[in-house]
Amino acid sequence: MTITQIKEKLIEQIALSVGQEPSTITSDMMLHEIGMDSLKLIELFVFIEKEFKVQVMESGISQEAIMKIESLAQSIHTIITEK
Amino acid sequence: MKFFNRYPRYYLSGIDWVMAGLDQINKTHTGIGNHCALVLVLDGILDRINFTRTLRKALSNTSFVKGKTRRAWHLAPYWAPSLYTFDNDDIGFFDLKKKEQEEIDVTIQTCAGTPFKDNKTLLGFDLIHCNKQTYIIMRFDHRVFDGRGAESFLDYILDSSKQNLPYQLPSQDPQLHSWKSLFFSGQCINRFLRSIYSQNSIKVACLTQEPKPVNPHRFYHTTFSEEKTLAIDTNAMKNAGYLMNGVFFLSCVTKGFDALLKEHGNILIPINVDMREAKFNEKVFFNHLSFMLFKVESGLEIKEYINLLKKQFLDQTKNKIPHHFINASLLMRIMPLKALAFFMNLQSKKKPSSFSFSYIGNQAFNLTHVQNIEVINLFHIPIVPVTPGVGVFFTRFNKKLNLIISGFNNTLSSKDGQDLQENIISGLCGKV
Repeated sequence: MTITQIKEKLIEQIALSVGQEPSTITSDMMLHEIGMDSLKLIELFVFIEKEFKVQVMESGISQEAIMKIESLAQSIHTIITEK
Repeated sequence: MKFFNRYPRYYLSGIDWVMAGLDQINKTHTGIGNHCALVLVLDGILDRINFTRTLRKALSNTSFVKGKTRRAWHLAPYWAPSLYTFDNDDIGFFDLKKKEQEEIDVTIQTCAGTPFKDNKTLLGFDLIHCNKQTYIIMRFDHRVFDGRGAESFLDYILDSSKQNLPYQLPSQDPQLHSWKSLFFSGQCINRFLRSIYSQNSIKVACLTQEPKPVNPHRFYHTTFSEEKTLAIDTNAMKNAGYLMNGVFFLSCVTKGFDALLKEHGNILIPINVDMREAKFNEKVFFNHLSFMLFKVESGLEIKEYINLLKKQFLDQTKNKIPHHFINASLLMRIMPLKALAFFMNLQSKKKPSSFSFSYIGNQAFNLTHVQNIEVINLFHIPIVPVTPGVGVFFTRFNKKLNLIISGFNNTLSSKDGQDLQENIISGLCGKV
């Protein structure tokens, strides 16, 4: 799976969660600016675990990487390719 | 005779019904329902007549201020609104001469703890003038508003540009379908509660409740400056992670509560979770929340609480507990309100909790000025349910964090309230 595909899936999920159109979300936006809160973030972690088999909280992804879709997608991609 | 209602009805959700049940319990035990107050602080004296005129314009001939629950022929409960005509006596007015903050707080507390004039009334207003500041207090009933909805509604009332966009009560279908899924959710919630209260040896750490005929409420309020709030957020980010402020706050509260306990045990914390999507201004009326229930041992350090709570947060989200609570509560609508209140009261004694908690991270009130006077703060002061009788609440307004501790006098003594406030503040600001 490429980084672009991961980003697309993440954007789709986040859009669903915050009730916005995916086209209004770009990967360089901070998650809290999009309207994410703690519950929605945890739901995103659950989605990532189900979709990419990556446990965000135990995988060592840094807090800075979680803040944006771009960096989160890159971190997920790194973990998937290293597996 | 009218056989058909021409207007679409709002059939209550299960959570709305639970809120009505809590209202019933509180009224039976204390005379005060399940209500909350929003306190808006303005940096100047707001003209009383103008304010009354604004309220009259916004609220007269509307159906949001009064109403009650009724049952349809298929037994689903719905909201029956009544038309309301604004009366000048509906606003309480207090002109306090130069007073200390403590004395102002007592007046705010008295206003917030005043019951509505009748069982159908859902909103009440008070205006306090003191030390060149104005306090607008809006009391609202949880049967029709949750915290965020009420903020949004206050924004609408006070924003003159929105007066031509009238609000209407929403409609909702009775949700008498998908029974299999509702029963499945009920089963999941039963299993979840059994797992929480599993061991016979479980000892829930609670503050001792003294029997008293009346239970006056006390509130302990702290507003943190922008700098302090920033420092707290940095602390939260460092210790709990990105967007995990709620978990950090809850850990500090748990640690603070722990210090009040005379004996160790399990600390059980029911929390409210907002289930709205980001566009929360569209869902103003009724309750759009659900619940989670956390269990931790007493006597741990804040860092350990953070790890345990984060893990439970993840597990309960993974198991869709908030979603199952919403679904399962739909089944409870079959119980008459008085029977529901009796059942809930009995359950809360069998399955006690330590304290209630909620954190509203995004404000829904966005006005910067009211009649050209700057808004300097907005905070909530909720009346907590009789059991556990104590609650801790965080809200934010314009980059400032507000902490409110609310409790009945027979559960949270004045000394314990002050100690808890100090413990929480030192946890939020200190090194973890």
